[in-house]
Amino acid sequence: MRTLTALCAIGVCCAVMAGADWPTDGGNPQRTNWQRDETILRTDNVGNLKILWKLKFDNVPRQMHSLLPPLIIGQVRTLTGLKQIALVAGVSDNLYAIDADKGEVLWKKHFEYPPPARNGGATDPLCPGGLTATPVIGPTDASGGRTAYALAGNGQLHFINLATGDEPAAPVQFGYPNGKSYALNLWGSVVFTTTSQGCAGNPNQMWAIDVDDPLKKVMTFNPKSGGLWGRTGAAIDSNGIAWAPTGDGTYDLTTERYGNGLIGAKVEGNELKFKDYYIPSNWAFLLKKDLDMQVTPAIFDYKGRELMVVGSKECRVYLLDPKSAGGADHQTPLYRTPQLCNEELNFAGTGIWGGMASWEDAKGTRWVLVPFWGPSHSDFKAPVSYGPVRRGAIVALKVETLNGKLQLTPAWMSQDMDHAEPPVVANGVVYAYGSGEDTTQAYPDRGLLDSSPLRIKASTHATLFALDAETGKTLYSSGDQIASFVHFGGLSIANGRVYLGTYDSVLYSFGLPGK
Amino acid sequence: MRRVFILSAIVSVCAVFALAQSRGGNWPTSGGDAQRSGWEGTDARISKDTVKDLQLLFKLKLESQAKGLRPLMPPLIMGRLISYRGFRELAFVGSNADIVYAIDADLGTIFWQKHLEYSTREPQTTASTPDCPGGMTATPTMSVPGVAAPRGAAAPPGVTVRGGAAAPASSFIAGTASVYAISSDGRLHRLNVSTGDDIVQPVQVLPANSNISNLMMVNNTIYAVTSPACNLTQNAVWAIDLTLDVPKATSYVLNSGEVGGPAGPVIGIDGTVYVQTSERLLALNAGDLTLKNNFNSGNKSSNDGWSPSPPLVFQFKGREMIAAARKDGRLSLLDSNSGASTIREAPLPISGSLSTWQDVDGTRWVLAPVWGRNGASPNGSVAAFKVEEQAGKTVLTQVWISRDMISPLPPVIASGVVFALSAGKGGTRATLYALDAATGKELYSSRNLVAAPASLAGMTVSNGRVYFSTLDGTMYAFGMFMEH
Repeated sequence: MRTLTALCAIGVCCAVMAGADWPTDGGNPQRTNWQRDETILRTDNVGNLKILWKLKFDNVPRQMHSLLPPLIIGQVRTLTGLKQIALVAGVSDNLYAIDADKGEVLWKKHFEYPPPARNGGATDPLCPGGLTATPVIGPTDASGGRTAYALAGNGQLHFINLATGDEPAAPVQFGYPNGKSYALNLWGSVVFTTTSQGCAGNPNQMWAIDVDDPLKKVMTFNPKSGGLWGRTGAAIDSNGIAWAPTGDGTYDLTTERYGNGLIGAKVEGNELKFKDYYIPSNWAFLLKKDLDMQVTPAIFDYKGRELMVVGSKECRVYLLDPKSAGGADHQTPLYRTPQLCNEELNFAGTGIWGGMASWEDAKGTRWVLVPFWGPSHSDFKAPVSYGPVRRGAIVALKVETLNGKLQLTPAWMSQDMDHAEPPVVANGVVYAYGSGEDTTQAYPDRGLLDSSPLRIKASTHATLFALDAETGKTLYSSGDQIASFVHFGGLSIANGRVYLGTYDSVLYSFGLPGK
Repeated sequence: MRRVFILSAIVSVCAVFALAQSRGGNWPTSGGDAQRSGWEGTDARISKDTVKDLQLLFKLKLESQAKGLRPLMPPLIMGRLISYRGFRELAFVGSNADIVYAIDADLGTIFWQKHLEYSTREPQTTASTPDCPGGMTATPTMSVPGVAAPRGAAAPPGVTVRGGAAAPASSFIAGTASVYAISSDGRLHRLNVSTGDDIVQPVQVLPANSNISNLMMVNNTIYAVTSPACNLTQNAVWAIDLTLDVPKATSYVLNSGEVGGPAGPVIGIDGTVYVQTSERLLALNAGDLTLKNNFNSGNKSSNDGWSPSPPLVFQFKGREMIAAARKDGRLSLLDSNSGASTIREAPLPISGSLSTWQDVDGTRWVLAPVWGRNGASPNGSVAAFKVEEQAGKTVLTQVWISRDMISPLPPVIASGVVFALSAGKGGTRATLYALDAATGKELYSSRNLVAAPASLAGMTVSNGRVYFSTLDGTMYAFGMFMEH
């Protein structure tokens, strides 16, 4: 009996002890935004979601940027025992380690450095300076610890003990001060990032550094394009090729320019070598209309074959084979959807922004989730939808094979959301949010004017939604519980909690009370 | 590491520069520039090799009135507008129905349209004759760069003009780019390029119901000609000063002779305003329109006056030259500074504006629309001349004569390709031709793609597209295909 009691106690302990991680932006190096290990939140209980805690940080927003998506490690051995830690980065060079169960700050770190000589414009949302790349957390090391890699605003990569906040090694230079880097990714011992907007003179390119390299050589590949501004940086396929969209720019083989496309590069030896690329056949039109390829791809398995989806502000989704992206001419995707949105072909406030998601259900159906801003295209009809979409929505596509050819088949379109952002998916539930951000970059009377003060003033508040992943039906909405908007933030999910940080430097943790 | 950064930075800057170079040119006024040369320069999407692949990209029926020979005006092109509705290449088209359209040049759809309400005490003329068709007659204009400001003249903040000084910006020039139009009631409109809205209250600048030539805006002044004397408006050259909050029009009255065609004044590189009437070839000072020069046709014969076609002004070996058609069909070539002239003796029935371009070797070409027999072309043609130095004189040497055309319009040129439009007449339809600018060889014909005779308003070429309109009020865009 005592033995049984002890076993039961261990079992209960294991049940409540958090085990799932979210160690990188997008959940994994493939950026699928799929939490495979969720067991607490389900379609039948997610309607009871509540704000478990919210924490206001002393992080000062820069332009419209504030908090980056938290990274979650379910079990971190600390001096006070095993803890579930949420690591949150703030744009003003802050790192906060949170006890995710209690909603308390375990440690805080602020990166100090002399103000860089170069910065973005005074009101320019594109170049906020500071820490703009979501950190990444490495696997458990030999001593049982976890190292977080964080790129400070001065371009230095820091190595941080997740349990304590200590830095066991000196930081190394991995970019330009106030250059705008995107979410770090980790493949083996190599940290990747991408940069865009040429902020503070930073070239738009892919970057890599092998943290095990004693020389810490910085490796780059420059596609001579616009910014590589997929929100979650590069996605990495099973061969270690990092894929990143190239924003705006010209496609010209003679000058090796790969703008308005998707490039793949891989670390070989101590070089980041260009491997493959895809350029939409209408790239010149996309360039002319400023409809950047700016979505971090999602890479996944479909019936034993690796596939990749990417999108753009034009609001099409491209299905690609990472082994030969775009085929022999690099311009022929496996499948290209019609425009889901952005009928007006606007460069701001419409289209797919950030990233996508992909998951596989119990029946083996592979799903792709696409967020977009603005009204749905009048020609796009999903089999299931929930009223007119004017401000944004999530579209679910199924990967299917028809007559021997792959295609993306629309399954559902969610309810209207105010600027629908990249969703995350877990245990049959899709978590999405409307950012509430004002994305106006040009005005009828003033022309182009991308001004943070104007946009901040016109922004409202974010709203979190939980959707049935099979049908898109809304199971939960946070309504007006979230006070501020989100700009280039993101969701994280692990162990029954959904996290979202907002412009006012508040981190929200949603979950089921008592679970 | 630093070297990598620096090299990368240089490459990035170069990439941005190259991008800017490829991001769409403008055609801000009828004829393309202040000299109304009709020459786009190099077009990234057009070449002698590719022009055979020209396609009818779109045609668009626009509201116009069935009177006169110019129901729709040649589009102005704004290569890139970053609007609240997205990046747009816009074609601004005036209609004689007092409407200005902004057409999305990539999609062939109406971006906005603005009806310019007739709003003055004098009743609107309903009568229409070929000389006085009524309605809006003046092709709108945008600000045209590349002309020196007159000495002491002011330029608004942010406007770069050679020789200009900074001045307070008036409500007619301050702020973003605009389209300027004069409606049939003689009021000047400044239109928001993104919306078509009047940015400021329209102001009466010319008499209502006048026959107003195409507008030309340089250095914050809009120039126009009224002729013939429709509704008793005098034949005159007008300069409308936009630096004043209430723009003021100054005129130079053309006491003798009329100005033919819609082209309007042309502007020399130094800002001199050139106007040609059936009697005189005049050079007027910028702004105040005082007489600077009156070029003698050099012959007292009544058949030896000037043709009312507009003069052609261009640079040749550091000099500003004027090519002008004479009443007897001969072409004069004058040095605008010295007045020295030569005459090409063989007459041609030239009708309409001359065009000019310069090839990569520096050879200056002049193109003339000929209505009537010329060599083997019995009905009409485009004649091409080289400007050459011979025995110390600057002369025009005919190089080629195009295929036969009916009432060809003044041609436009891009990337060594001449676009000529056989207007057709009566039951015939217009036909667009692309010709090798060096030889006149036909490279493309629209054959039967155009359904009606062409409006005589003119052509536009910009960013891989050629535009014109037909008498039934349809706008045509031919060009190189770009996948959407």
